Amino acid sequence: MKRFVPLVISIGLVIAVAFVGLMQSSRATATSRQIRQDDRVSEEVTLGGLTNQYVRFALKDAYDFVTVTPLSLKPGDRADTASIRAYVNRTALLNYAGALVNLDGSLINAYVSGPSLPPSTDPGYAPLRAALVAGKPGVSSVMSSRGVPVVAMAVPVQVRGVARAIYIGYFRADANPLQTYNERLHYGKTGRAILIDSAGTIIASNNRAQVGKKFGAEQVLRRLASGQTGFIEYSDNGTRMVASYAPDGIAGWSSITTQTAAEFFGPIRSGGLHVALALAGLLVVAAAALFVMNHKRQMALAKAYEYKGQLLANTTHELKTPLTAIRGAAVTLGMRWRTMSAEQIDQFLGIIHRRCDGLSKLIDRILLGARLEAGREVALNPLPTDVLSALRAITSEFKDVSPKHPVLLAAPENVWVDADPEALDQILGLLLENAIKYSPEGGEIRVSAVDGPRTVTIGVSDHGVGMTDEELEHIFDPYFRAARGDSNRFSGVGLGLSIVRHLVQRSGGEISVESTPGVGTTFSFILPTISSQVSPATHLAGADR
Amino acid sequence: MNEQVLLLEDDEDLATITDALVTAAGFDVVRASSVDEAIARCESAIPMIALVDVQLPSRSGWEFVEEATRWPDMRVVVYTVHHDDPATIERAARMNVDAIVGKTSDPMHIVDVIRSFTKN
Repeated sequence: MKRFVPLVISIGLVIAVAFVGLMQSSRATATSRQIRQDDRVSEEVTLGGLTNQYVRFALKDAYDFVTVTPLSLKPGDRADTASIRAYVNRTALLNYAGALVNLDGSLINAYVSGPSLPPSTDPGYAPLRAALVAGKPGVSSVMSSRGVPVVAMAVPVQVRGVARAIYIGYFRADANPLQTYNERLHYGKTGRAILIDSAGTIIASNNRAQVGKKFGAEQVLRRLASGQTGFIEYSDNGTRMVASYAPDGIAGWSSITTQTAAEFFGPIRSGGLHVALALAGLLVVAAAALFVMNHKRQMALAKAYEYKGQLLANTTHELKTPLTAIRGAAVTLGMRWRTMSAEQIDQFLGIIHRRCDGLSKLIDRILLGARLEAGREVALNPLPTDVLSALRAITSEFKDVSPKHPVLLAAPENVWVDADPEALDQILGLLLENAIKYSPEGGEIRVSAVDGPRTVTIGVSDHGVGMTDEELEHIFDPYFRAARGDSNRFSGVGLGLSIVRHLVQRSGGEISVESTPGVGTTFSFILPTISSQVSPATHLAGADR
Repeated sequence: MNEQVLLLEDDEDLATITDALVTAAGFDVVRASSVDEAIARCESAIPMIALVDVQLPSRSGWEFVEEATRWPDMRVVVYTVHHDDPATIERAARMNVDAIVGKTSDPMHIVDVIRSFTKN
């Protein structure tokens, strides 16, 4: 269970961070929504202001027209009609029709570019009349003239300071600069920029089909009726909608922008979601990395435990084997010494002696391995050493130890290295021991030295079982043998080669290995040479200083 | 003529000791240090018992155990330091080994095992 604790903590941490991230993201989303709403309302107010300005300019222009143009105000006066026609054609907004009417509303003269004028009975004239009565320029609601939505604006025609008639300019609600302007406003796919009159009829919209129709969102109309500017979320036939609204400050007109809530808030939501997802993704990656690291650690630990177990079994076996021989020899001697010849007794005592030595060496090696494993270095005492002499000594020793394996030596004379003689002896001994262990009986072992410009390469080759590339990668790892699982065939604790590498490196050299399964193995190590002219005595004297 | 015991053991010291103990118990010991040598010995004269060390450098002693089915009258005793290893026990059982004797146990134990087979 303990192995899952880091994992559980990691997951808990990830969830906690993800939660905080999502909370932050949610706060950020709320703020973004508010900013977006405020922006939209501010935009709406600007739009309302623009409409207001535009209408005011149009009314002023109409006023200027009737003030500057000499009008006869006589019914059927062609000059008046021509003037009206010229005005209608040049004006930007009131481009549908123009009409001079008496103060009671009866027609004097008119020019209409379209089918007809709305009849004077049209209720859309009501706000226009009310404004005029109050002494202000009048603006009508949207009226329908044979299916054409039109809006009228009226200014008084004064003669010597006295109002004598009314000039009414008309524009088509579905074709005028305000409409064009609204059409140019794009708010995503569902956004609608709408201009409504005081009766809630649409004067202009970027969806031209809506012009002349009633704006349907009562909630918005109610707020506008009380003069509010603002933002609202509402439901339109089950669709969540948003609307920003602002009175235009003229003739009860208002500017409204509607859009589906999903589209309006979409970028914010998905933005927030993206942030959360990115954060979550990052956390998932981090968690995965943590998990992998943890898993790797667990695996390494499990492997180490397995290793330890195998190592213990292997080491125990290596210690038990000589003990078995010692015990067996002692028991045999104890039981049979009376009947044994002196030669036999010597033989058994020899076994005990030899195996005790072997055991002692083995224990030394295990202790050395443990020291190296712990990162403690072995103290070396380098001395000028003749390579050939060192090789001769060790090969002759092995010829005695293992007479079944011919050991051949080829090395040049007078090549000196600055090495600890004991370490060199140990390196060569371990390599030879290794070569013999993995060679069949009669398998030839070659020990060689090749003199280079400043180095000597010493090699130990065998014709043994060889190694695969995978084994070669780990062959210098301590206790590698333990993991190779061939302890049933070959004895040893698997420390020899790691000790060899350490000693070679400590002697200033490098070791390499080449091997082919079933063919054999060659270990080579390079040591720096010293001049053979330097006598050991001189060198030592120098070293002492 | 004494009954013959084949001793397959590559460790010369252990072979010498076991040889001495088994010989003293009244058996003739034939020594072999490799599987090939042991097979050659069996082919010339089938021993009553083969004491097999399984940990050998070139061909494993288990290969000899497998080969030993050629001589059904010969008892096979695996003689190893891994006598308490479950994998060794399982393998020995699967290969119809007659007994497993630990090298680290009392040196006289092997003699007792050999004697038990003689009585049977």
